Amino acid sequence: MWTEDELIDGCLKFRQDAQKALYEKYAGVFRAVCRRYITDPHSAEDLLHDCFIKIFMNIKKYNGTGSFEGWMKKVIINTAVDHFRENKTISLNFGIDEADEPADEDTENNGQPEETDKVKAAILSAEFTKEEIIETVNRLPDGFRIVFNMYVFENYQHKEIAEKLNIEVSTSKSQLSRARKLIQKRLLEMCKNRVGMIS
Amino acid sequence: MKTEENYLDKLVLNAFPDNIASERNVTLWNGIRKTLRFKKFFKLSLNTFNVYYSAIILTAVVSTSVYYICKDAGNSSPTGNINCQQQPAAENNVAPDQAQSANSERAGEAQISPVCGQNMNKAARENAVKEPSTVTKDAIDLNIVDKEPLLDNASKAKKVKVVKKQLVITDTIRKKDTVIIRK
Repeated sequence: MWTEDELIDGCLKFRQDAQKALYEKYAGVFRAVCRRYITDPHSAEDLLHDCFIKIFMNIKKYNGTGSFEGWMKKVIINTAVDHFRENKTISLNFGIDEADEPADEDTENNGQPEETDKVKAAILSAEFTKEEIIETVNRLPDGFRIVFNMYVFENYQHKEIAEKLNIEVSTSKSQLSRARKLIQKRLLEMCKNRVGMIS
Repeated sequence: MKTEENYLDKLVLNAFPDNIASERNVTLWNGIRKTLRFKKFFKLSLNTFNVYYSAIILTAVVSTSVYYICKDAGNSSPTGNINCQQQPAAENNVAPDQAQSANSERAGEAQISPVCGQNMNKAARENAVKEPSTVTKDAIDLNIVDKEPLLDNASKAKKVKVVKKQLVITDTIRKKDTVIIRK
């Protein structure tokens, strides 16, 4: 069983057994991270491949500050953002799906949703499956989903998100707010479609 | 608002897995291993290439510099003719070999060496007779001095009868030095 220091030392020396041990230990975790940013499973595998290559080639840049796993996750997130920049245009200021949707009463009411407790109760009582929730998040526009993932899963602050994505802090906050509203809205629609619980 | 945001975040956090296993783990690892091998080889080759490339450049620069230095040094050196070193009359110590190789082109001070006179060019001698005004160089070449110590070295025990002939003195020839021409 390898300790973290042994893994790092072995990978610094390009030892294949150390690299394989590191891969086997973290492949599942990092695959889950990649799937959150890239919804297509095959593209997520390609991203995972690129991430491990970057980790092994740049492991000497890890200076011991912070956890090693946290450093590797940062590499993955940076690689995922670069992937989006190379392959797609991240529309961070305007969600693609929102363009076709009529204005909500929520947005007209200064962003405050009406009947908050009822909505919350309905969503929680609907007992959505994990796959349904994952599907709902994956349907978010790329910009919304990246900011949402970085804030909720990776616990980035808005300032860090803004620096990484080269956007304003206010933009990051608005993207997160709109992502949450969109998730809530879609879950509510699913509730209505199921049972017709809330009129 | 805050409670609403938190409940959605929690809902999503609980839904997404922390770890996803895949049947493609082994395949992916093989791909990573191949890529790492290539990158390692490429990196090593690049470093090696940089070393060789730098060595080649350095060698070329040094060789070119040495070539041009030697070329310049060759151009500025004397043409191979050793000046007939003029010894003052008072010294009277002129080596025979210096006289033998004399073919002075110096138009400076009048430096007459009796030793050099032994090797005087016949044509130069004739020129000195015919054109005394232009015999500065020839006068130097002729430079026979009727002094016994010098003559001994030059003539090799031969007694030379010389006839003094006064040449036109130029600015470069000293009055005391006379050229003696054997008729």
